[in-house]
Amino acid sequence: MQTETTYITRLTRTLLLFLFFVSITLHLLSQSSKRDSLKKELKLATHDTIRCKILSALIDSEFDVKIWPVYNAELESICSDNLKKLKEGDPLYIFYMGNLSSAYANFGYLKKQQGNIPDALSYALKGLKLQEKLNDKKGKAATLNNIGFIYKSQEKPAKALEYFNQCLAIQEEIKDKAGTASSFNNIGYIYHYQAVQEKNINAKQTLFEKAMTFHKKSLNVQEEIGNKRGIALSYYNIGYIFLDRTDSITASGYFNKSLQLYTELGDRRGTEQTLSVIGALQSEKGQNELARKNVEKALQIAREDGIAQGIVTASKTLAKIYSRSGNWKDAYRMEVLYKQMSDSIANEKNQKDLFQKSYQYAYDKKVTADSIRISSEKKMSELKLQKELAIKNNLIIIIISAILTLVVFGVLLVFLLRSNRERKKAYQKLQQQTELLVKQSRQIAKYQSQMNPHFIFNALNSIQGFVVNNEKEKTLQQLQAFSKLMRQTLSNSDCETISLQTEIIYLQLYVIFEKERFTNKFDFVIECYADRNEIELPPMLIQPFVENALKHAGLNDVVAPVVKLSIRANADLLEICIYDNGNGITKSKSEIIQNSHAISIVKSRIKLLFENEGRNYEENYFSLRSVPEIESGTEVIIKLPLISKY
Amino acid sequence: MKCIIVDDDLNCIKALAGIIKDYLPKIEIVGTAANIKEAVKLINANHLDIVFLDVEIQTETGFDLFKYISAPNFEVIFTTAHEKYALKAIKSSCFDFLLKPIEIQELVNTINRLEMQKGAAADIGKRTNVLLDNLSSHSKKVEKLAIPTKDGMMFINVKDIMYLEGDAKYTTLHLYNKERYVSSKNIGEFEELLDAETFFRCHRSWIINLNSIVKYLKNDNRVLLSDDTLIDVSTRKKDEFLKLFNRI
Repeated sequence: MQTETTYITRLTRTLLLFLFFVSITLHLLSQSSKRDSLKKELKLATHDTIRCKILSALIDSEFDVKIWPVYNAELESICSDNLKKLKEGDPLYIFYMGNLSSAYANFGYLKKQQGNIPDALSYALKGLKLQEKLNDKKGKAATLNNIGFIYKSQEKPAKALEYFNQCLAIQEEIKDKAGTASSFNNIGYIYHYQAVQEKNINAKQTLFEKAMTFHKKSLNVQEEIGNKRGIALSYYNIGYIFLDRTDSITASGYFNKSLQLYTELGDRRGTEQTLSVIGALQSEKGQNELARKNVEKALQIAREDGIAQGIVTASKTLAKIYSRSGNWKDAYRMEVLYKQMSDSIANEKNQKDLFQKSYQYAYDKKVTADSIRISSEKKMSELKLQKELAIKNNLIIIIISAILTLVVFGVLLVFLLRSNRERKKAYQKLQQQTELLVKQSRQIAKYQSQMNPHFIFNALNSIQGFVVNNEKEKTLQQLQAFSKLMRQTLSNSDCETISLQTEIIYLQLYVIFEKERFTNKFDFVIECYADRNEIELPPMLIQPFVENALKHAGLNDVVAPVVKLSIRANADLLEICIYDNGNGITKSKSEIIQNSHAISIVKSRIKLLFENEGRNYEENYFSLRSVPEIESGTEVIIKLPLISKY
Repeated sequence: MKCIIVDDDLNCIKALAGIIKDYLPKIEIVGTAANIKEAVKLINANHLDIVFLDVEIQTETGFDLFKYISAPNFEVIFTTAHEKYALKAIKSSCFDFLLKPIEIQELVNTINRLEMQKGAAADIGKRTNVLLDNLSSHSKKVEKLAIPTKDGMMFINVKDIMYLEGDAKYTTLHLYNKERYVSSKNIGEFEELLDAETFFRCHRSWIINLNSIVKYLKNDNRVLLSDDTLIDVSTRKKDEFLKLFNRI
């Protein structure tokens, strides 16, 4: 019974939703018929000047890129038709020229947005010619500036520079201060771009100097006219020049000035950008705490205002900052955010391409439809007939759109339900992964760092001993061995696994270093029956056992003391045996060791290794035996999954 | 042999000078400099064989020296404590470097090798260009390589490499234009230098330029390159490869 009522409620809801969709469709249809009538009115307007004015107004108020270009096309054709008929002296001639030049500017803008650079350029150049005839200097400057930007987007800095300079000359002539400042800025930007690209160091310096001069000129003008936003931008750009010349200290100074102004102005975008770059600089200097605060603030702004590029930059920097301070969880969170955002930016680009294509299609269709309608209008002069046809058409349209709505609605419903379920699953999976990763990285970091500190200080202490005793040769030798060991330890700690060869060299280095410290006479023997270059194992797994043998086995008390490391590949296992022929350990001691912290760490590392390979860990993969279980000494056997690099 | 030592840390200069005095008496230290300007003065005033050049000099870098000396006629041995990208750039242009603290044997070996190679210094101008190009690379990727071959130093653009074939201690570089070079570096060293987004070590003996792949043959786990070469992808590398491949 209950299921039936829920079913009915759901049905009613579906029906209601359906009606809602139908009513929306009808509403849209009525709007579109309004627009159609407006267009008809426009066509009925007999005087071309009035039509031009209406069209201009329509273009200015319409933001839909699918619609305004159609009006613009009409504007263009009216103007050029009339210009053909009129003579240059006619007062209307100037009127149509002005309108035509703005139609060109509009098309130029559209083509650039669509990425159709050749057409964008040709429209801009056409506009420029008209503006020259009209002696419209302000318009000319604007067009020249646009052409400069087109070349800049095409990575043709020399061309861009040429146009920005022409633009600047006009702006200076008509004393357009704001324009002059912005041209200085654009020119400075181009020189900066060229400087970064330039390979020759002397030429590079000259270009940087030029960039600096223009940004400073821009700054002067902005200060003169009191444009704080412009001043902030100049500081920011000057800062970037210093940054690219690797003078990060001066760069920070300018970024801070810029930040202060942007904050005063309440310019969130500027604030976000400067905070982000300041934070990145601080993070490079190792000021982790300051960096974190600034970049977190930048990320917050970018998120609130939906600045995608800002989120990408900030999350990347934050991931670095968090991981440096050992905050793995947040580092991972940022890494995920970074990936998502950069993916979605890439997607957006794809969508833009797609949109442009569909736009082109819709536009072509509309133009054809319009021309067909014009010809049919010529054939059918009676308005009545037209109206009847329109009603018929509308009816058909309503029925089709009702069906369409139903289909879309159904698809949407299925899609929503499904994607919701999938999202939930994906979220849970991601969360699990995060937790696992955080856990693992914490553990691994712990395991690997635990062996280092006491070894470092003991080693330094023993080197100090050589210095005090004035043993120059030994001091040098031990210092070099120690730095080699530390370098290797550091580079190993970056890796999850290292090659067997690297591990063997590392252990040899370690033993040579320690031998000198303890003046032991033992032999260190390595037997390896496995491909050293191909087989991989985690770093710092064997070393503690070798260290243990050197320090606690009492090797000085036995004849022919030896520490032996044997490694062999056996089926899908890598068997490692560390043996010494020292005093061995008494049973009670061995019990302690069995339960000791160090050994439990090694065991869990081995376990983790098998888990990562999707295999099961068995208890006999780690064993520690001593007298009386074996004849003499101590023997540790570790079995790892056999991991080959290739 | 005449040399100078450039380092902003006086103790580092003392250490290196002391080692040279004790172990390499054939080298005469004609001066030391704590910054690039002083170094340039010394270089212009003396006919030098070697410049020991620290990479991190306070606000400058050792590479800034080449702003003032565009055509060096001496060998440069870089000294550095720990700098990953600079080391990559140095290695890719076949300059010598010593890690601090200086290891005596390595210093002696380097000097002996330089002495043997006398005449190879003719390449120094070209190698300097490779070094500076790679350092100024915006993407922090190695873009050019100097490769020691049996016929001398070869210079190539990284993007011209189609694939690399490793054979024990040698590596053969196959370029798009069918040229081949055999280098005495092993394939692992190339793997370290080349940008991992473009070059993929798909097998123990192969590194491929991902841009040169035409097809992935799923059944026999091989890739077909644009010159019809078939290259194996090892089973261990398969998943990693497919991930990269799907990204392209």
